[in-house]
Amino acid sequence: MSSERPLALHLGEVVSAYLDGELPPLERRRAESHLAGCDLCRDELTDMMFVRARLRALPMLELPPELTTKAPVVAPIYRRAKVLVGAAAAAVTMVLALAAMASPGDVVALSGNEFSMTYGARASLDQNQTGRLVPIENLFFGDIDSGVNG
Amino acid sequence: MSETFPLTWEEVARSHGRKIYNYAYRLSGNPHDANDLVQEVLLRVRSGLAEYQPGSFEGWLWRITRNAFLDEVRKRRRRPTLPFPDDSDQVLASFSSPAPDEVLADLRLDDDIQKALSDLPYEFREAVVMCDVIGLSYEEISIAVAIPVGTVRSRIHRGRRLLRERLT
Repeated sequence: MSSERPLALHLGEVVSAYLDGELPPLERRRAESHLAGCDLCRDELTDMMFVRARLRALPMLELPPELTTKAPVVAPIYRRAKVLVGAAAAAVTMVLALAAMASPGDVVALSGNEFSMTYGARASLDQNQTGRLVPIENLFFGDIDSGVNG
Repeated sequence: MSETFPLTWEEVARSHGRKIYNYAYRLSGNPHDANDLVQEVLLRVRSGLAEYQPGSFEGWLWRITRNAFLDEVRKRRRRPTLPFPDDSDQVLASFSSPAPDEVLADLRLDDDIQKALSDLPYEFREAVVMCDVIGLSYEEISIAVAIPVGTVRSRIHRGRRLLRERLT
């Protein structure tokens, strides 16, 4: 580490807690008092500030294209087969929920492959015809039973 | 967050979907895994909200997210087709295997900091991402990871220290 002196003589991990505002008032004052007279702990604080700033500067990534599409889609649920109801409802609800996460004007859909990978049922939304209602029958394909069971 | 209950899971998706995606992305360094995780977490939230007891909502949600992430890691260990790292050796090993080009492209997105994160032991990476990327408090991380607050503090500091040594 950066010092051969016992850690107890320095702030150690308290530096991060201080930086994060996670110390109670008394401990915080003690830390500040120590920092005022300790170059080594101030260096440590500088290092932690540097790392934290780098991490905080990472961009919050948008949901990726696999989860989003520009085409507004409304997908009513029709009952087709009992085994599909749960998966279909989950799929459509997921789409609507994810749509809520998109910026205004965007509506979000999950790709069929993404859904089939995760839930064993292939779901798709019509991304070519803006605003078109897509019955749930059209969202699933012929191998749905094997998909559900697989 | 806990004052605003009851929440619907759609509201949770709206308020946290992007954060969950970023959490998974920063931990795994892989957008495809992050996609899968967002969907899985939201399904778990959907089924779990009915049993939610008012308390630390953030702690509860991120515990679900963390568990879902670890489940994905375990799944992929059984069929390792994607680099879902849990320590530096595995990360490096997976990169030297016939990894798809897109994996390397993903890594370049945030270059050194993402690479340094991926090289961290998992428990430090998790604590640092929760604190510095997602913005959770130590208490919330303590609940999410089911460890004492003192351990959270230690992991965050040690994680940052390791990152500092890897970043020039």
